[in-house]
Amino acid sequence: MGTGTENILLDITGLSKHFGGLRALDEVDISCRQGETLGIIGPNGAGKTTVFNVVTGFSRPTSGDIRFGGSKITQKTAAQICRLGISRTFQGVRLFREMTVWENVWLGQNCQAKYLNPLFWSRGVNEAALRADVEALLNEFQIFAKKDAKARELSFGDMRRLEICRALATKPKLLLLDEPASGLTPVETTRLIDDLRKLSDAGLTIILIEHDMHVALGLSDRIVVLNFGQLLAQGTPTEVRHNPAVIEAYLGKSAEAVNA
Amino acid sequence: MQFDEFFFIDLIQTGIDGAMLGSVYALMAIGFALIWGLLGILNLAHGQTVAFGMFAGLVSAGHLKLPIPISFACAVVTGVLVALLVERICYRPIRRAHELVPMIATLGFWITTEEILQKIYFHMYFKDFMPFPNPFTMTRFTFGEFVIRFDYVVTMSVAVVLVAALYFVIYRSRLGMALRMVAAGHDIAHLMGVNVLKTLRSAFMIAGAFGGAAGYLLGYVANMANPYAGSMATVKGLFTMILGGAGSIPGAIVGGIVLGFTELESAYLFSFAYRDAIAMGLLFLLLVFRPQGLFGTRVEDKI
Repeated sequence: MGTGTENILLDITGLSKHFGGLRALDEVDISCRQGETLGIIGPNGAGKTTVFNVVTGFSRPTSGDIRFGGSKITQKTAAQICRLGISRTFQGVRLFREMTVWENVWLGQNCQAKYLNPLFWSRGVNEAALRADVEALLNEFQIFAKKDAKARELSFGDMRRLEICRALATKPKLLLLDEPASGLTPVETTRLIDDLRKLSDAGLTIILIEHDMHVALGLSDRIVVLNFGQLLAQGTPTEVRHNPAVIEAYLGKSAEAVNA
Repeated sequence: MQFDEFFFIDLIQTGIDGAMLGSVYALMAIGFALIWGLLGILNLAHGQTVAFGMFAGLVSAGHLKLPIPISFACAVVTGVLVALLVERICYRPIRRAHELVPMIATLGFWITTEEILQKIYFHMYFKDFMPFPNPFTMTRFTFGEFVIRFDYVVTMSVAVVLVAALYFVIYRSRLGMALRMVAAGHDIAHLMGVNVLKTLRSAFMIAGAFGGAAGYLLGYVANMANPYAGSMATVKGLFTMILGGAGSIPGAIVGGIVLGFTELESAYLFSFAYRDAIAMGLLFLLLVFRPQGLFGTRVEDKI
């Protein structure tokens, strides 16, 4: 693969996060190229979600460096990082539950604008165009028909898609998905894979944490395996699938059964 | 008491006055509701924005003889400044602590500033009483049997305009959008690019403006400034907010009107001296049967 550093979008070096004595992340290096889909897998408690929390500014790393598009974001707040173009979803869906589907996406849409001029709409903001964007997003994820329903009234699959919609409404350069397929029916999962593939084909960089190996191995260009806060392996899905250390830690010892 | 036609006329008259007084309670309760809704803390210092707004009004209209709109603006600005001070010393430095900690800090702010205000008040006005200027005291409209005080009309109009402005900000402005996101959860709001601290500071400022305005209107209607107005505002504003449903703005508005109405009706029907006790007792009974308040939907496990 290309060695040029200019197309590396997210570069994590020596990242550690300790909670008291627990080393949730220990000297982890992960980098993600522009346009690729990177899967992060690992057993429970491996530190996958902690990576997301630290990257999005939810929690501060104990040590280490995170660079996004070449500039350091380690000390920035979550709001600043969002405006730089990193957006995420949560393992347990977190929406504005009392607001409508439309409002959820609409609010996400508006985060890119400056906070200044708080009282009125900034001049030069084309509200009609923004509305059209929201509509297009909702259509793309097939929840436009439910736009006036409260978020809490949706089915779980719709909530998941709405959360992705809201994350996309912030116009991210990098989308972080925390177990997007968990809790979905097989049909919904297939639909989700299609949707994500479309996003990826459109050039969006995606990092996804996934328990469902079918989804993770099927969608990712490259896979990173974490175990007890440390980097266990990385490579293409095929490489990872045949890596003995991964098979032992994550897939269990019955490697033949998995590879069969 | 005779149940003749005058009884009923007075009953209705009292109800009208009560609803108008209630609009001021609504203004006080909105400040509590905003902070509770966004932060989940009881801002016990909020009453002090009312007291300081009232005294800013007394100083600017009484001593400096400024015209009413300007002295009203002074009261509002003072309310905002007091609220900013509360945010600065009672919320921001200790916001990561348990939610009771900022509440205790606001309690301290309340007691301290009230004592200071009271000392100044008795030092300055014990001998030379200064009434709160109200040029409309004697202006009245009569509709058949009913009398409408002009200053009540002004009070209610101001309240309506302020509430309309608040709704406009919440539903039509960027700040309102940020406020609604923060109310839904600080961390999601943060993640969606909202500067939560700045938004909360704006919320404190809005609450302070409402408090200052309420203080001015209370002083103006009563024709005097009262150093204990802060305590009164905290007790009544808090009660109004809880009555309407904690954190709900329509609840605060309706709760204020209900409280004002109940208070004056119980003063009329029973006894003026016990009006607060009777009104609060009745509303307490209401809460026994509807603990989430008039507009509350759920009771959260905070405090």
